[in-house]
Amino acid sequence: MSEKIGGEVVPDSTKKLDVNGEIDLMIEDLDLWYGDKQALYGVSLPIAKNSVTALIGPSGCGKSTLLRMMNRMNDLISICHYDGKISMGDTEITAKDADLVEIRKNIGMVFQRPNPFPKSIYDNVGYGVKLHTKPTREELDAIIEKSLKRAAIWDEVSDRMHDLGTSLSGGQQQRLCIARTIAVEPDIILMDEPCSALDPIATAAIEELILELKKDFTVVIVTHSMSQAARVSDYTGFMYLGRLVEFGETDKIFSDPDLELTKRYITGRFG
Amino acid sequence: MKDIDKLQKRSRKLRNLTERVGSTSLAIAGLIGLLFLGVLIWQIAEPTFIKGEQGEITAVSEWIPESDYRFEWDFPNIDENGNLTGDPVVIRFEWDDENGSHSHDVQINVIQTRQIKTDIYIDSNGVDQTEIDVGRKTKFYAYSTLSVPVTVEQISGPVPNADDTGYPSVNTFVISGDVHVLWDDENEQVFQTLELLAWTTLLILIIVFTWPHETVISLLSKIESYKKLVRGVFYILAALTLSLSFEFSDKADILELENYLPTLDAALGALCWAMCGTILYRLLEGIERLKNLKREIHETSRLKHSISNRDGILMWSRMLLFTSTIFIPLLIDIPFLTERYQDIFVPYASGIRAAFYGTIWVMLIAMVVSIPISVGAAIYLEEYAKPNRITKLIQALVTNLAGVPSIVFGMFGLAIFVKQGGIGWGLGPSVLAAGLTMGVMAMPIIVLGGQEALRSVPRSVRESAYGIGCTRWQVTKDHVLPSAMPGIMTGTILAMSRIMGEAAPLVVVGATAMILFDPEPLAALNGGNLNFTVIPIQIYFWTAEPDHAWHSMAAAASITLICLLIAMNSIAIVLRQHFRKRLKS
Amino acid sequence: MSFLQRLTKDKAGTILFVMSLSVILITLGIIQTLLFETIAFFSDIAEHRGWFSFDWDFSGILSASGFACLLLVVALFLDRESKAVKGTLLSSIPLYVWNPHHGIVKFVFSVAILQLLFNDSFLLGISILFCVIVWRSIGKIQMKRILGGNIEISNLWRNILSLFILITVFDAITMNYSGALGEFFFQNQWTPTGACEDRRSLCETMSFGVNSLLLTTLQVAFGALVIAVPLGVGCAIYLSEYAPPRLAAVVKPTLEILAGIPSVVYGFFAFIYIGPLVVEFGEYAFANGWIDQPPNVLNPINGAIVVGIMILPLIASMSEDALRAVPNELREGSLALGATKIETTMKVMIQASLSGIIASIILALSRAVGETMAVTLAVGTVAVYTSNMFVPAQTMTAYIAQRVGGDLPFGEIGYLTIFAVGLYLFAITLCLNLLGNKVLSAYREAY
Repeated sequence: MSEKIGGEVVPDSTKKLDVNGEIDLMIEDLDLWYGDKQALYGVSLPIAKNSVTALIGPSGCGKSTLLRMMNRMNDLISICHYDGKISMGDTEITAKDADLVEIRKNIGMVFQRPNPFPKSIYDNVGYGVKLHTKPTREELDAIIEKSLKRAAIWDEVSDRMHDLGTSLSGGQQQRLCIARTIAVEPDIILMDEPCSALDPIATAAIEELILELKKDFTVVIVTHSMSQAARVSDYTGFMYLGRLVEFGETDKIFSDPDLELTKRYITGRFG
Repeated sequence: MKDIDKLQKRSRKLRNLTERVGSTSLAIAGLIGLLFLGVLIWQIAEPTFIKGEQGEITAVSEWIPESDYRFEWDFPNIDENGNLTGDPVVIRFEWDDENGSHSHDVQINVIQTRQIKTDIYIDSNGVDQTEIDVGRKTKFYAYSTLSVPVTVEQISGPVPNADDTGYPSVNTFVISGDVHVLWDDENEQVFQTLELLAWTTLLILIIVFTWPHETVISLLSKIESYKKLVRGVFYILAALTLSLSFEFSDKADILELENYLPTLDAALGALCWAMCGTILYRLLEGIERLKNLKREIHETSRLKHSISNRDGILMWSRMLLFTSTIFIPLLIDIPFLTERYQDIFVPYASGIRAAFYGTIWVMLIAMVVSIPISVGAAIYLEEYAKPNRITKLIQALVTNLAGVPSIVFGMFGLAIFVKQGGIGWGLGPSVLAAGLTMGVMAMPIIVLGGQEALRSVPRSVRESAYGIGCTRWQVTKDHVLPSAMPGIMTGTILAMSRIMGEAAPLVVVGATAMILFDPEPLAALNGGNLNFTVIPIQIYFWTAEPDHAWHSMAAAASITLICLLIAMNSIAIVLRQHFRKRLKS
Repeated sequence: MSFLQRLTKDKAGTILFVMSLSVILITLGIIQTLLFETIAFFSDIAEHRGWFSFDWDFSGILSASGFACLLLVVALFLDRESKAVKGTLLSSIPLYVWNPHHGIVKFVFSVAILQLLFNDSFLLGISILFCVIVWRSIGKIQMKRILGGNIEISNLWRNILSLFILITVFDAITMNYSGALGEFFFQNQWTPTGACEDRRSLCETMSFGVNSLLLTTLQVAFGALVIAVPLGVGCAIYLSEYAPPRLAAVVKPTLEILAGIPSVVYGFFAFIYIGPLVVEFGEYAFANGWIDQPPNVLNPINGAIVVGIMILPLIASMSEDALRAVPNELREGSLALGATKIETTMKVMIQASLSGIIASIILALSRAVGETMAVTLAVGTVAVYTSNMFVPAQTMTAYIAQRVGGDLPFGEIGYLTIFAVGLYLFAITLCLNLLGNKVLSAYREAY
């Protein structure tokens, strides 16, 4: 079955997609509606372990929706309902009786706008850990230090751990949020345009950090910036009008895409 | 193995339990608000239905002091065929004079028809009749020409509605079945038909207009080609409603509120009819458009879009509906509200007419005083004021004045408006002083509401207007004010409904407990009678009475007041929702 | 001249400006009215009884006030020491003294607040509370010293403590206040209509100790908060975080209706419904000997309950606004870390909207203090100074309403008393409003 989108014949979106290495998260044939309006059409996508997968596409194409689906953040929107399957190893994320707490603990998320809690930096990072475990003071200190170091912000905040998280600059706040997320050591980190509210220097720092994080975590990143996707990601998926149009290794997508539509988008002729 | 897994785990069971317990208790807290309202309304509504008691006759025994004695029954004990439906009501008159002691029984047949009365005359020969017919709720008298007191006692029939203080207490003898303070069981001239019909039609049409239903739409589509005719019919009905109730009365006193009220009803009724016509016309127009587009008329969501200015019409018609609801008490004949003044001795014969008119006058004066000034102040603070010290001061004063206890405003009114001498204006405890005090109290609330509304007008509106070269006043008048108007009106209505329920300032200003005439609004200026009262004051004084019967009256007045306030608040809510929706889109 | 020119140039602006000046006029009018009549009141009494006098009583140093003073001095010393640059003295004390386990801190705090309710001496109670607060602030500062962070030096606590030290010292070494001011502010007997031949002018049996009215007012207001705060804040959280939209669509307007019902109707409700309920409970308490007088239908508990119901919608709707103003990202951020909904609410949302909620509580308290008709009908009209909350008493507002209800010629002493009480009331509510609005505007700036 082929469809015609944007004046372009697109291959069947349910076609088997492959990545090298172990698959961490598998999305199969996901349809999603906001009320009457369908936002995702039969999306299937494998996420490779310890890699960076980027989702690109014009505004409103459903890439954020797809990302928020991966740890069921869409459940917060009451009119949203879906059909399809997302699985992570043996656990089925889309199951009705899925344990959302466990899922979200294992799949962390970093948001578009930095959103540190109105607590001290120390408590911000410790919050997630204290939710799930009862650490002693020393254990907590160690975890917090480690997370902040991994998020490359330790040097900047080590002398002001008890200041409010909101008192940091935008880029620092975003890195604090990343530290907060990796403190609970998830398997996958979802990033929803993490740099769109930041200046170029902060963006560079975050991008560097993402490449660093790849070693321990699986990262899925939604981005508007094609160059960012090209810089940080191993795999890239191009989404258009709620469909995953093309997916493949980043080099291939950016140098020699299969479809004219992808090419036009990447070269900036629309979108 | 992750680091975090090495730590001691928090129990998931406990976390889930907290979640469940927490959300349940929060839900309970949330629903307690509803519960309170339910209990409140029930506790207040309940005393307005007084149940008469049937049973033994013991307590009621009075004597006729000098010459006459008043009787009143509130239920028929005779059916259409003239047969007794229960025990006969028998009253025994006894007296001792030089001829020895006398005892005469009179049987009273209470009949359904009103206004039938037969008085009883007592002289030295005895009582002139042994059985009489009286209409229910009709007073009749026993006249005595004797020089000695006559004892009167009911020896048979349903008991008077006596409470634990031994009601009826003084000089009056009311036997009652079910007393409904607010509702009359069988009231003859209840509704003014045309207005009520208009109101009902509007209600139905609003429902159809809000949620168009397939069957109704297919019904309506049959008359689609006559839409202009339909509209015409409704306009004629409007004209008819207006003309029928128009009586140019010769009572030329322009301050008699009563002279305007019938016209007001009719005007509202006419407006309702006209609105009905417009709604129907727009609905039919929408159906026609759908047909022209070759669309199914059953697609109600399409239909909604195809009706031009649907939201606006809905808002206006809802507001009209609620406004008419406020005036329904005037359409329906409720003696409690529109006929009866306070009766000193008989609680159940009392009403809040004086208080009702007092409230209307106080509100009108307060509106005239406060609205122009406060809206002006709001505009100044939002649109004109530069951020300097005076502005800051005024802003701080407004914010804090809104939180000043109402009784302090009352003291302000007492010292400035009521008192004579010094800085006092010497208006006395009059409607005018009360209205001015209430106006002053409403001002900060209206200013804050107005500012809020003006602030929510997007900056782009102002900038685009300045961009084409408008002066500041033109920008305000032509662009900002129209968008902010519903918000300002909402604030104003809410402020008015708040001061409508305020009793504290008027207690201080000097509202009286009891007056037996309509208050005169300008009495303070032309030397009339100053006394006035308002509904909350009436409730206050009635509640403070020891006799339970008065509490029923207070309950009835409370219900009336709550109904008025809910109607007013509903208008404000409708306005606000419309305003919000428009700002969003 | 430029000012005049500006005025004439922009006519509309000038007219609007004059309109807004009316607000200043009203405020001036209120203050002038209250102030002048109050001064007249005090000088009337002062003519007979002098302005202010008291007896020295140095034995008071050994009483509760003296002890309170000692505590405050220690607290002040520690507070100063903690903010000193080096803070060597405090560092020598082990950290766990300042920062023990969370449970201990919460326990100590609740004990400090509870003892305030049962402590005979208000000053001692408040000093203990202050000591605990200072202890916590030192704990935070010490924590920051060790872990790093900006230490904000503010003189607020120092000033408050110094003020209270002055008050306690004054309270400890003096007694028997009299004279116009001393009587008004320090005595507990309120009989403004003495049993004199001429009821209109001042006579010896009259006494004007406003504390009896103030006590009842505070009993009612804080009692109302005890009822309204948990329910109102709970309701707000439920509405903004949990309620399905359809239910919220019903509950929110209901609360608005509840908020719109006039206070006199609440008074009626209290009089016929809550009063008898309270009496039933009071009878039980009296039978068990918990209270020393039989209960009456009119009592401060009745008033507290009804005022609590009255301010509940105010707290609920203002707190809900505060919670809704918190950006959605915070909620999502917490949930994305695997927090449950209640954990998100309790640990993030409430903390984020705390100052908004506090502002709503302060403004509701001010409303409760100024509430008139409901308390007049529910609490009664007998000015007594007693901790028994089951017998009729009188609040400040109820006194004003009751006093002017009768025939009250201008200028006599009874007429003047209502302005003195009114000014006191006005001052209290104004302070509360200023505080509440300040907190609120700070909150609005934060989001």
